[in-house]
Amino acid sequence: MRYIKGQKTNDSQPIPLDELVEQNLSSDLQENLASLDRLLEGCSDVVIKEFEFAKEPTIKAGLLYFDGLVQRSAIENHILKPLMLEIEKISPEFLSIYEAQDMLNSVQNRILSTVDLDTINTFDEVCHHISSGDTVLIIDGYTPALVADTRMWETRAMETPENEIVIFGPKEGFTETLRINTGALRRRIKSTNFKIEPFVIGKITKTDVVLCYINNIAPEGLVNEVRKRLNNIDIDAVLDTGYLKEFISDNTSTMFSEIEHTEKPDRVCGHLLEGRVCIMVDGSPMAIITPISFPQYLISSEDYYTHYVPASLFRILRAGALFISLLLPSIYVALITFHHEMIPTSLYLTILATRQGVPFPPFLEALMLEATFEMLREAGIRLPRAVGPAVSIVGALIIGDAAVRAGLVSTPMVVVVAFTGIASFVMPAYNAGIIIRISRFGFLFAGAILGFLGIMVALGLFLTRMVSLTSLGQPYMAPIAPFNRAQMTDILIRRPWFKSEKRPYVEGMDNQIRQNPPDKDDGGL
Amino acid sequence: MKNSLNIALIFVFLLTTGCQAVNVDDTTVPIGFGFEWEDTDEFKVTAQLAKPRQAGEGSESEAADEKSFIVVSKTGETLSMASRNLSLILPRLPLWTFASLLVIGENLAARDAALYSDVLARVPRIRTNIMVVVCQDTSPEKLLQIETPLEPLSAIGITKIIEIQKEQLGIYVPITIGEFISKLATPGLDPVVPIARTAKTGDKEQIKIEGTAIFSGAKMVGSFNERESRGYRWTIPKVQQGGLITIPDPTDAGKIVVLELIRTEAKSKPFIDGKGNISVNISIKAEGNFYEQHSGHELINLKGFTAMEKLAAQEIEKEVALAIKRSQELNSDIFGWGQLIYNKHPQVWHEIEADWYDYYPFVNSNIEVTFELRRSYLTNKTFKFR
Repeated sequence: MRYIKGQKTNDSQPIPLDELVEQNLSSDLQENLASLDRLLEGCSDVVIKEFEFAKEPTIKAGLLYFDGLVQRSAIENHILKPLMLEIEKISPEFLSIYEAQDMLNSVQNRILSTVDLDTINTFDEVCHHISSGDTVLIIDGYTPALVADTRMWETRAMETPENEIVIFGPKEGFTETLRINTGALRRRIKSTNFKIEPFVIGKITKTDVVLCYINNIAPEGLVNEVRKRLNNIDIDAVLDTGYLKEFISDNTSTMFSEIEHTEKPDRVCGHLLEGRVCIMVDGSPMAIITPISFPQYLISSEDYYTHYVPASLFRILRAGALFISLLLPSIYVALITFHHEMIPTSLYLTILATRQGVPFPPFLEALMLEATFEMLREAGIRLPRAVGPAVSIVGALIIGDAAVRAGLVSTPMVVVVAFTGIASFVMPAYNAGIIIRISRFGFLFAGAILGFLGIMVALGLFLTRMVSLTSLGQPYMAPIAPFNRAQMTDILIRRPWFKSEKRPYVEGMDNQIRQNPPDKDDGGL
Repeated sequence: MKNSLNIALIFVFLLTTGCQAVNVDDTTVPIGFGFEWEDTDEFKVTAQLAKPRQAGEGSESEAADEKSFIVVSKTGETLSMASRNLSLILPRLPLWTFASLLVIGENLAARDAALYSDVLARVPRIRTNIMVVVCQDTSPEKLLQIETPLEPLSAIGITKIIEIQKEQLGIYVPITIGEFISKLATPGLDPVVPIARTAKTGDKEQIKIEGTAIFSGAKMVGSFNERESRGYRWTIPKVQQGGLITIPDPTDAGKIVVLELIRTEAKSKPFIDGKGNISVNISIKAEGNFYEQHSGHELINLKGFTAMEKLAAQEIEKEVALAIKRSQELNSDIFGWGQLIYNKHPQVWHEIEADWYDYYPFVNSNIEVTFELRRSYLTNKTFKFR
C-alpha cells in the first residue's frame, strides 16, 4: 500500500507492472508498445511487428504474437496481406473516412479475413490472448485493439488411450488440446442442450477449463454446485485435471476416489447422458466426471457395447475380483494363522509342506511379497521401454522362483499374492483401485492380529467409511446403500438397452426418462 | 475423543479375542485317531499323523514303500490326558479338527461308552461329522499302521471304503460321531458301527471292513455278519441308494441272478394289542434293476420279472428277519423300536422304559416287502449262444 501511495505522489517513477497490466490500452501505439515491451521483457518468443498500411496518410500498426503458438500463414494471409496489399482494392472514398470508430470497424469487419475476431481493451487481455496463441493488432490512434484467433501448435493426434484399453467400442482418446477434446464430445452429442461452459483457472497459468453437461438431463443443483466450486478455486496453476479433483470432492481427507477419470470421449458422453458433469482442462487428456458412486467403478464402457448377458456376467466377475484383491491375502494369512481347521485337509498338508523351513511368519511373508509386488508394479509404470523386459524377468525369476527355492517364501503365498495382483487389474477404474491396493495392507494387518474377527472389524470400518462418503451430495455407495431398488437399474446387471427406459439416478435428477417403453399394442413380429 | 474411543475398542477386541495364533510349521495333521482301553487299565490314544507332502514331489525321489504317515500313541488315565501326553513325544501340535476317522478299540467299546462319549460330545476340536469304526481282533494302533491301497493315508482310505461300498455293495451303513453319540443318548435306539479288521493277503496285511458292531446301552455286545448287516440296512427309515442283491434264478434253481438296488425305504409301525403284546410292522419298499444272470433262460418278460420281484422280496425279508433275530439275541435295539413306541404310545413307553431290554427280545415283527424291478440296462433280451 505504501508503494502505491508513493507512486501517486511521485509521477516520474514508472508504474509498477502489476498495475500496468490492469490499465487500458492507450491510443498511442508507441506508448502501448513500450508498455508491452516492459511487460514482455525476457519473453524471447514474443514477436512484435510494426508496420504501416493504407495511404495518405499511412497508419501505423503493431502486431503481437508468441512464436510457436500461431499459424504463421494465417497471420500472413489473413491479417498482413489484406491490410498491406489488398486494402487497395477497397474503394478509396471509404478509406478516406478517418473517424476512429469507423476505421477500426472497417478493419475488423471488412479487411481482416480471419474468422474469430474480437476487440480487447487492457494489457492484461493482450497478454492473455497472445499467450493463448492469438494475434493482437494494435492500430495507432485507435482503441481497442483487435485480436484474431490464429492458434495452431503441434499437438498429439487422437490415439487409443494406453490405460483404458477396450476391445469393443470407440478407440479414440483425448489429447492435450482442449478444443480437440470438446470437439470430440460435440461430435458425439449433436444437441444444443450440450453445454460447454468456459472457466479460466490458475492465476499464473490462466488455464482454460470447461464444464460440460447436458442442460435438461444434469440436475441444475449439481451444475450450480460444480460451477460454484470451480469459481471458488484460487490456485496459481492448474496443470492437470487432477488438480481440480481435490477442489471439487466433498471429502478431501479420503482416499476413496469420488471422481472418475477417463481419457475416452465415449465414456464421458455416456456419463453426460446419464446426467453427470464432466470437467476438462486444457493441457490434460484426462476428463473428470462427477458425481460418481463406488459401484460404478465396476462398470466398463465396453459393457454397453456388448451383449447384456456377458456384460452383466463380467460385472459380477469384477465384483468378485474386487473382493479378492481387497481380502485374499488377509484371508489367507488369517486362515493359516488362526483358522487351520477351515482349510481342506489335503490343502493344509500341502501348505504345511511348503511352509517347512520358511523363516518368516505368514504375515511378514505376505507383507514382503505384497510390498514387492507393489514395487514391481510401480517400477513397471516408470520403466523405460528398453529395460521393461529385464525387470519382468527379475520379477518373475528372482521373486517368483528363486525366492521359493531358497525357502524365503512359500509357494502358496506367491500364488495368493499373484492372484491378488491379477484381480486388482480387473477393476476398470485405475484410480478406484488405488484405495483397494492401500486398504489391502490394513486388512492384512487386521487378519494377522485377530484372524477373521479382525477382518470383519476392518471390513466394518471400511464399509462404514464408504457409506458415510458423498460425491457432490450423492451417497458414495448409492444405490446399494442407501438401498434403492428402483435405482438399481445399472449396477451389477446391465439392462438390455431396449429395456432401459430410465436413466440411472443421479441425486436431484428430474428427467429420468431415456426412452419411451415400446408400444405394447404394436404386437406381432 | 472419538478416536481414542475407537482405539480403546480395538484394544478390547484384541484382548478379548479367543483366537490363538498357531504357527503352521508347529502343527501336524492327525488324519485319524483311535481310542483303546489297555490291559493296564489305561486309555491309549493313537493318532495317524500325515507327513507333510509337496504336490508333484515325492513319488520318484522317495522310496516306494515309505509310508506317507506315522502313527504315534500314548497312554493316560483319561482320553484327554492320553492325547495330551502325546506332546511328551511329539514336537508338533496335533490339530484334531483335521481328523476324518475315529477308531474305537474293541475293548473300549465292550467296556463302557461313558468312558469316551463325553470327550466326543464336549471337546470342540473333534469334529462330530467324522466317521466312526470299531476295530475287532486288532487294536487301533495296529489298524492305523496298515496302509490302504492307492490312498496314501489309510484313515481316509477307511472312510472312502465305507462310503464307496455303501453305493456299490450296500452292506454297511456309515455312522458319524454325531450320530453315534446321539444314538447313545437316545432311549430306545442303539447304535451300529461298521467294523474294521485286518486281513492277511499273502504276507501283506490289509484293512477290510467286515461286520457291524452292535451296541446295547453303552456297551458293544456283539456283531453282525455281512448278511445281518445288510438286513439292518433294509430297515433304515431313510432312503438308501445303491447296492446289489443276489436271488436264485426263478427258472433255474441252481443259478443266481443279481439285481441292482436303486432305492429302498422302510417304514416301521409299532402295535400294542389288548394283551400287551408288542409287535412292529416293517414295510419295505425297494426298487431295483436287472443286472446279471447266468442261465440262458429268458427272464425279461412279465412272468420272469414278477417271479424275480417275488424272490427279491423274499430274500430281503429273510435278511431282515436274520438281523432282527440276532439283535434280539444280543438284546440290542438297533432298529429304534423303543423310539417308535415312544413316538406312537408315549404312555406305554413311560411304563416300560426302565425294563425295555426285558421286553425287546419278545417283540414280534411282521415284515412286508415289495420289490419292483425297473430296467434291464443295455439289452432287454437274455444273452443267447447260437
